[in-house]
Amino acid sequence: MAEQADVVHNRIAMLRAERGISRRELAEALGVHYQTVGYLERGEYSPSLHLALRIAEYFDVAVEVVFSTTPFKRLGE
Amino acid sequence: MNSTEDATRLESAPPPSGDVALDVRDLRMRYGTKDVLTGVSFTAHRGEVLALLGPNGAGKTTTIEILEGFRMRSAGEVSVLGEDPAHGNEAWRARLGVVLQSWRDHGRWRVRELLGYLARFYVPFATADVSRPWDVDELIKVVGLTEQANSKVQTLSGGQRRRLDVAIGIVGRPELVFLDEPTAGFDPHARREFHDLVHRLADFENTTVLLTTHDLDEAEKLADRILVLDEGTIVANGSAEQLARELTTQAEVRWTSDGRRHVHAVVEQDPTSFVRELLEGDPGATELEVKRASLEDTYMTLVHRAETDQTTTDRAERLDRTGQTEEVQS
Repeated sequence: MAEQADVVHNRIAMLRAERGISRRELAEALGVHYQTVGYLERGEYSPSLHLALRIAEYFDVAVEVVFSTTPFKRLGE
Repeated sequence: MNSTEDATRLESAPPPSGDVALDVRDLRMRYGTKDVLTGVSFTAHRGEVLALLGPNGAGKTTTIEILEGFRMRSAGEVSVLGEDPAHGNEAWRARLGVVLQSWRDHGRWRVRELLGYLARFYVPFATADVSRPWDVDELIKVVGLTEQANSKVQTLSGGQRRRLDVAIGIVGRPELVFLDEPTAGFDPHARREFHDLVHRLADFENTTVLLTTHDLDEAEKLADRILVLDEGTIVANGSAEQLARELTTQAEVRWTSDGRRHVHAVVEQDPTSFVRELLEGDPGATELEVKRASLEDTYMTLVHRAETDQTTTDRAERLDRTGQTEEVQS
């Protein structure tokens, strides 16, 4: 668990795929640019607390379902 | 039919002045039973560059053709350089420049020959204020065809051919120029040169320009004002900056803190307060960016909004329309 200090792991891509939502749809719902969704999914950008909460809200799940300070376990592990 | 109404409208309207090149009020066009224009209104001042944007089939070409006098309108008031295009005479026509989407004739003519030939037709229409036509060699220089002046038209490249189209459109020193998709097929360099040419016309010749384009980036760079036409009516009218500011309610703030990139979406109108708090709360924040929606995003929102409104109010509107039709018929 020698993780870099401030990295926030996320499951946005997984949730999005599971719900059949395109990046563009998510971008429009959040009011961000299309590419920003990609940056967030790949962890290149950390969302502000407010944006993180809105993402969780959008998927109708608790924020810790989408974001974590430790890596998410892969399905089947 | 209703003289009181007309009188009121005339009173409330700005006085007819030499400063207005185009004045369109409640323009309507119907082909058979299909309404193509359902009430288009706008004005253009002299020396202004206007871009008419809109999806395919929105009515752009119909609008331009009516203003050029090539097509009779169904209803509405139109004044082009102070005249009704439906009754414009030759002297009026000589003050207009028209560049169509493409013309592919005169292939065997040489550039200078063709322009010189066309220029002669404008000689009788010179006035004390406007010397007509344009000096042909000067015009050739302005459109950047000096090296091709003696070339046959059919040997020109696409961009050169288009610049010749523009030269043909402006050889009579028009006060108002209509350009229908002028830069389709241009490479970025040719496009930039064409923009310089349009700006030159507006800045030095005080020419009014109305152009249609699908290129939002071009509209943003070229036009003083953008008109968005959708489903036969103007849904937005303003500068690129105004449209972006008025129509988009969102911005994205990005910054770096502790070596990480962060992003925040501002849903309310003005991102300034978020930025102020961010900088106060995090003095280490660097590489701050506030990204507003581009004109393209704005445009998509607009056109999308118009379509969504239509579907949600579809049923109600259909009922309304039925009611209206009956009223009109009775």
